[in-house]
Amino acid sequence: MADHNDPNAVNSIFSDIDVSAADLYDLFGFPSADTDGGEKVVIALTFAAVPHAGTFDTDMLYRLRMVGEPRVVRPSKEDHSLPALLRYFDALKERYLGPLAASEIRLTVDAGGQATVKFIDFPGGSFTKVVDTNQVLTIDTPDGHAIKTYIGGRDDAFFNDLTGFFRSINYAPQFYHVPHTMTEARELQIPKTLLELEGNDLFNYDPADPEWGYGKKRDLPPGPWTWNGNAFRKDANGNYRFVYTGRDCQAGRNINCMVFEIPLAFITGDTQRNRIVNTWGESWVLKAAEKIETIPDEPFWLEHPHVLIDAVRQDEELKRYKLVDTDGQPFADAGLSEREDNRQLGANNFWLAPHFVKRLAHLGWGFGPSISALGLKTSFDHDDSPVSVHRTYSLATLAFPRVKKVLFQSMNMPDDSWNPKGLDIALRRPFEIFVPNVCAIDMDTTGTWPFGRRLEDQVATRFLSVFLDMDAEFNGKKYHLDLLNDPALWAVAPVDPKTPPNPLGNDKPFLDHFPYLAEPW
Amino acid sequence: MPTDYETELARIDRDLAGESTGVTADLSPAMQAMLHASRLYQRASLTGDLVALDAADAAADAAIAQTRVPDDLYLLKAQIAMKLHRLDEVRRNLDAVPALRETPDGMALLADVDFQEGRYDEARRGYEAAIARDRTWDALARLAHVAGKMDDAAAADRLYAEAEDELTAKQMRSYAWVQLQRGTLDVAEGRLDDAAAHYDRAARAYSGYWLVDEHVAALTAARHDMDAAIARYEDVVARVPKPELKQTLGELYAAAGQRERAQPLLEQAQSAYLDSVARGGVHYYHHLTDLYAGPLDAPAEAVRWARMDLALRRNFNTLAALAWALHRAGDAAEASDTMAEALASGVNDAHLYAHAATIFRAAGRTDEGERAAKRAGGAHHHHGHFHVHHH
Repeated sequence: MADHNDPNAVNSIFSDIDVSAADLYDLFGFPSADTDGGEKVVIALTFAAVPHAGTFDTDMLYRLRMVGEPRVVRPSKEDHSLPALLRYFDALKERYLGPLAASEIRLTVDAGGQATVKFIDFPGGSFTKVVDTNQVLTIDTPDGHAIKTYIGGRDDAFFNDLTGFFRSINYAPQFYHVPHTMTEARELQIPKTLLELEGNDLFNYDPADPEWGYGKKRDLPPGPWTWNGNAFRKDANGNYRFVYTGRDCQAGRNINCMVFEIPLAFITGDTQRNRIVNTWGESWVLKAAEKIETIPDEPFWLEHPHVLIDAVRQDEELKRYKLVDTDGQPFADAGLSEREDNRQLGANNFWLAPHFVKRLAHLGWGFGPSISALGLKTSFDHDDSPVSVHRTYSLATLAFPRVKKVLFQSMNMPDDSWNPKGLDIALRRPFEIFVPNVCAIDMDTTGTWPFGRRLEDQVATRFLSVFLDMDAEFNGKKYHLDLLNDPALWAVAPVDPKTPPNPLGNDKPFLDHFPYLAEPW
Repeated sequence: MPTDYETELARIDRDLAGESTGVTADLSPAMQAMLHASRLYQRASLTGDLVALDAADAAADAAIAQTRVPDDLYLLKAQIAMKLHRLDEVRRNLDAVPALRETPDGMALLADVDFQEGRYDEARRGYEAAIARDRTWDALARLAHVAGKMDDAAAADRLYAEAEDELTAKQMRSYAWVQLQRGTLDVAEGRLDDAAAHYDRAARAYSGYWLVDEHVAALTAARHDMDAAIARYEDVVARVPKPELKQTLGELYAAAGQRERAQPLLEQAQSAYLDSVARGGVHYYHHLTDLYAGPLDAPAEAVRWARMDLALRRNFNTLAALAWALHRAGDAAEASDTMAEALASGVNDAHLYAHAATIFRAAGRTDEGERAAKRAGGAHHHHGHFHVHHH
């Protein structure tokens, strides 16, 4: 720009990336054990505690979207080909972008801590309620339902070794100050792996600096940031070094959240048919232009909270905001979409289908050989590679044969407790789990992942299990998605530390009653 | 209650004083040096203190010596060089890490250089490529600036509106900046009330910002309310004693017949410009040209500085400035030829056309003079009224 008038002059390219109230963390969803008066579903959306736990950013708008649908009955004979997979994604796309209309709960909070909660396009209509934050309360709906509600600060319900995950994918920003301009220095071109690579000094655990990666960062050394070894690292005892430690990186942290326990009959008019509640969350931030306009927050609604709202007016409200983040499945973004902001598509992630196949193959070349080295069977075809490989694909057709089993195998559950009614419910498969990016809560199950997501689910470890061969057996039992959570497995594995990858439980006990998430620290 | 500007400035000052309570305490010396350079740059930009940019540049050099991956620092130095009109340095800094040229920030800076050096189509393509890579508000605003100069105000305003739509409630200073640009377009089109509405929005978006107050003062002058304009400029100069603002206030005094108040301010501005030049600065060349061609009435000096500026960046602005200086110096032939070259760029600027009309007529190029006068009038330029350059 001419003469000292450049638009972005003041902004620092070195700005520390602030934690934003728009950062969605987790979406939990499961059938409530309380069935008095009918079935209910618990849905909790958690996000960064900004500015503080229990205090909300008044520029934000959060949406919980949900739709009841029938459980898909799997045909007796299926076509496990890439064209068939893409046809499946296309069919979903038609459904999600077409006539399917999701209901939503929309939240904004004012400076006084009053939350405006809008229930939009539910079978019984739409209405608005203004409630206190940080209180367990009940919202009565116009059609006679009672919705338990909590909007406020809680303990972070996620428990995992996030640093271990980032070490497994050689994600530099967790360990180094990566220059703003160096977009290539995020996931470095080093094989993904569950076991440390011999000589991978850029990421291998440093016993002299145990906090490195756990909040402490180093200056990025000059490149090239590659690895030229050919083996997994082994210690003097012949054990591999696990990239995970089992440490809970979320311990002692708080989040803000919106939690609801909603009668199924409020979500769908046909509770017998629609046994699946698909749900996802979104964060939106107020546009700058709207910040200075003084639009009263619908005083009419405050006086008449049960009045039906014109849907057109709701869309007008949303036009004042920008979509920032979405959340459906754990690791759908972080693991499978390479953390790219423009892939924050929420349910509408169908266009990622070819990318999804290629990304899964890329991860498989890293994790598959690691699993084999541990003496376990993998669902990924890595040609018996003795060590993890960094390989990327430009064509889904080349990647697909490698990941065919990963995509189509049924994810065995550890026991039958997930299916308390003993119904004929098909086990879920990875391609169904991650596309669309929604939490699909099966009301006839306990809602444990991937039939929803319960607070106590160790989903980070369960995500890794998609690379296990579910036809194989360990100690006489079929592999299942909690196998890597089994301490007995690690006790005999040639690895150190002998720990499941991620912690087995939360740092603070969950409650057995609404809102279920633990009190904030 | 502190204004938004005061709050932001205080935060930067706390960072510079090492009083931050954030993550910086755990940073390595190299990272701290980088942040220090960046904060100096932020402070200089926010306060409009171009002299302080030299300190930021020196801090960036010191930080480069401490780090093995200086990519961001070279980008910072390129940004500083751009603000100081050191176009060769912009290129040199981007060349220090060739990958920077491929980043959206680097692409936008190179397009800035193209624009400054008169390669308008290349500049436009560069901004468009940067937007294709990363649709940021500031790249859209840069493209809007080109459209405003080369196309028409409506096209520019549409692009500014697109830029505005990219901004969130967390970027209110940037939003205010875009409002100022849209208001400036309105002023050029003679829509002073619309401009006032944009400036009012800017003031509400980001309170206490001298840049907003400067624009409001200029608008007041455009409304011929000289007393109020002077009062507003006096207030801005008291808060932000930038030499270019002193020059404007001095010119206002002079226009109001207050020569005794004008002269000290004009001399202070002149002194600051010359001090900068003595330190190797080039970014005040065009101010010196304006000053000597105008209130200080030293056309030969104006021509000298204008030629030096033109040697650094040959664009319609520097050509037009030289043309006006030559005209003031009595060289009608070269003045009109130079102005003709400026207009051949395709620029659409009412103020420039008004000067062109005067220059062509004085050179006996009557037809061109009439055409230029028509363009100046057609663009609603209030020729003969006090004209303020936004710095």
